[in-house]
Amino acid sequence: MASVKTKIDELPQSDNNVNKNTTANRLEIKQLAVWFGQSQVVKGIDLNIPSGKVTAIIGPSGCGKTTLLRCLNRLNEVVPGSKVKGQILLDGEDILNMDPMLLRRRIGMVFQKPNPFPRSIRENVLYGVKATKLNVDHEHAVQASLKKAALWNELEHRLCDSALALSIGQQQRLCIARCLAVSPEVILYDEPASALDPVSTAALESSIMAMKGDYTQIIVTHNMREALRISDYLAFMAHGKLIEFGETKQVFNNPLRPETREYLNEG
Amino acid sequence: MISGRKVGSDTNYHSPPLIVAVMSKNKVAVKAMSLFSLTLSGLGLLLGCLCLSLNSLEAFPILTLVLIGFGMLMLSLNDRHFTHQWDGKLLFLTILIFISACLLSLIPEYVYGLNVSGIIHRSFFSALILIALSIPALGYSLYYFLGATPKARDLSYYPLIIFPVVLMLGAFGILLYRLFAGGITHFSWHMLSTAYNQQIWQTEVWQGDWPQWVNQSIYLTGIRNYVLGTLLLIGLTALISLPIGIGVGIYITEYSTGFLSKLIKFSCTALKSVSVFILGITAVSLVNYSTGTPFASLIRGYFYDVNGQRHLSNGSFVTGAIIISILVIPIIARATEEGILSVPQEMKEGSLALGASQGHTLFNVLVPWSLPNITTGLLLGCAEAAGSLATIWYLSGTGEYGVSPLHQSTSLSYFIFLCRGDTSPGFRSVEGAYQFAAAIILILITVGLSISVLILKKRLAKRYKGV
Repeated sequence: MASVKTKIDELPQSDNNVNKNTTANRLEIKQLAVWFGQSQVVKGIDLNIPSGKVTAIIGPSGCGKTTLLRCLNRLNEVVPGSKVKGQILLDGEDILNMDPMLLRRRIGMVFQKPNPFPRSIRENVLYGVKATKLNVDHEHAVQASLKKAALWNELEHRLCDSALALSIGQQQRLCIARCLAVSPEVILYDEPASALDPVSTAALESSIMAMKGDYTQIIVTHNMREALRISDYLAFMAHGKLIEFGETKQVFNNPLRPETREYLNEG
Repeated sequence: MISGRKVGSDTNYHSPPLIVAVMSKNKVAVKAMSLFSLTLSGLGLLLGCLCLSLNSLEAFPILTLVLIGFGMLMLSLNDRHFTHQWDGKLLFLTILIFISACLLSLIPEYVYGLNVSGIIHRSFFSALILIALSIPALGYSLYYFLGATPKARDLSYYPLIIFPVVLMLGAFGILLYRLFAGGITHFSWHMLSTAYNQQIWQTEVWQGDWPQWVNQSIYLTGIRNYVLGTLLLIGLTALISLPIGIGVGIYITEYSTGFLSKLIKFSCTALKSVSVFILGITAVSLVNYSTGTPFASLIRGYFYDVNGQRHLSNGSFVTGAIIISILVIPIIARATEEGILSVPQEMKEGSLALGASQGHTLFNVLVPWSLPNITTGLLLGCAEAAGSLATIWYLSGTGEYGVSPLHQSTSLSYFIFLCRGDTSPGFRSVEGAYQFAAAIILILITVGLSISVLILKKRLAKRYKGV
């Protein structure tokens, strides 16, 4: 799988990308707590996500990792009965006080099950661009996004085909391309490879590795080997609390907490 | 068979393997018996249907019943012989058959009284009894004919299931036959292209020194205006109810939560149970309230008579469409709501995660996805408008002055009513011949609508749902 490296200049810069590599922490989460109805799912998390790196969040099922991820682009507000308390700072601005649509332009998300719209490939990639009325050249944006997602060579001549005709692996990469077209600063992945076969997973992982440095990426995953392969920082969560956070190699080789050690040994 | 255990002695239920293992000794006999029973039950059913459809047919119903009873008796005795237990239901059926045969022989040929002011012939009772008893008999005979296995039991339910379907198809067949036989001969281009118009007026003609009043008349028969009226009603109703219905549907799914949404949904269901005549009377009140206001010509409609004088009629197409829309809007709103709720959650979240606003998601993802549902709702609404009579009852007329949104409303259903229910003999004698043709055209319009909506639905689903 050839890894695709593209220059930063090929995608139009959003206004907030000026300080891309100067701040050490892109996202700062302070005392985040989330309730769904009566039950508290996330209990007081403090986490700093470093800029330009891949952070993996691992943990057993039901520990609140997906909920935490969805807080970062405020998708939990779509679910009725949810309550969020705490502070999340993106480059110093509090997310929870921002206009959600402007926020979601800066923080994109790739879901567990690929969800392309039932339209052509081109329309899919341009959906976000048209929705946020971004002032970019459409053809250029389509080409750059598909190149970054390693799909340009396969789909160059098939842009008007329906997106649902692609294989699942290609659909997931199309979702990544769609996300990239609006030039986000942070990309969130919610178990992106759980629906894919090993070949597509490898292609996905190489795309993620190629985007290191240009984007801050946060991946929630069940697969520990994947976390070890691609992430720079590792966060371990259990029962809604953050147990440990540090560089991947360090956490894996010398876990500080016994719960982490237990979880890592099981996997 | 387990050694040391007598066949069937301690079984408390019918176990099919036992029956099959034991009956195989005498397969031919059982098959012959059940075949006899089968043919007799089938004959009984046929006889029952014949008695129902033909008047006073006396074709040995008692004999048939007794023979069927014997067949059932033989089957139950055979069953008892092999399984040492009575099949309760079969026995009950046999006894019932014999009792009803006795009852039938007791009924006199013509039955008076019974709180029915009329005379009922015996064949009515024999038909009912024959049909009611030969269907289970058919089922049982089929069961034993096929070897009394569990699969045979499933197959033996077929007569019970198929009979109502056949009855319904038969009823449809009779209806369509009556329509086509009555109407197809009158079909002509003249009928479709001429509007009904009968007016007599007098003009002054000078003959010598004195004026004379001479009668002049137009005498045209045809159903052009009724066809156009129905199409106009369908069009206006669709025009009014589609945007409002989609709007209400979007509102109750996306924008309102809690009590208001539940209230609107309840009203949608409740409105369907309102009798359409109440809507008709609402229309009349609307017309009455508008008299004297500037809206009178819009709501009441107007026409010019032979002398060029302008008169107000008692209800225009616009009013009729508005009143019918009251019924159609909840249908479309419900359909939109179902369509929007059926969008996969991940597609909605995917659109939001890209930074699209709620409105953009609505019109670019949610509404296109639910377009097939909306078209189905539209079809139901249009069919409602095409066939509606009670809602436009008090507003309609003969349509002799023309068809336009501001003229008096009329439609094919109203025309058929006039052909039957109009008290003055004039209209009936002149146009009555076209009533079946009008019914055929109404059916054709509805069928045409359904087919075009089906095609449209398929196209939309392919385009916007990727199916």
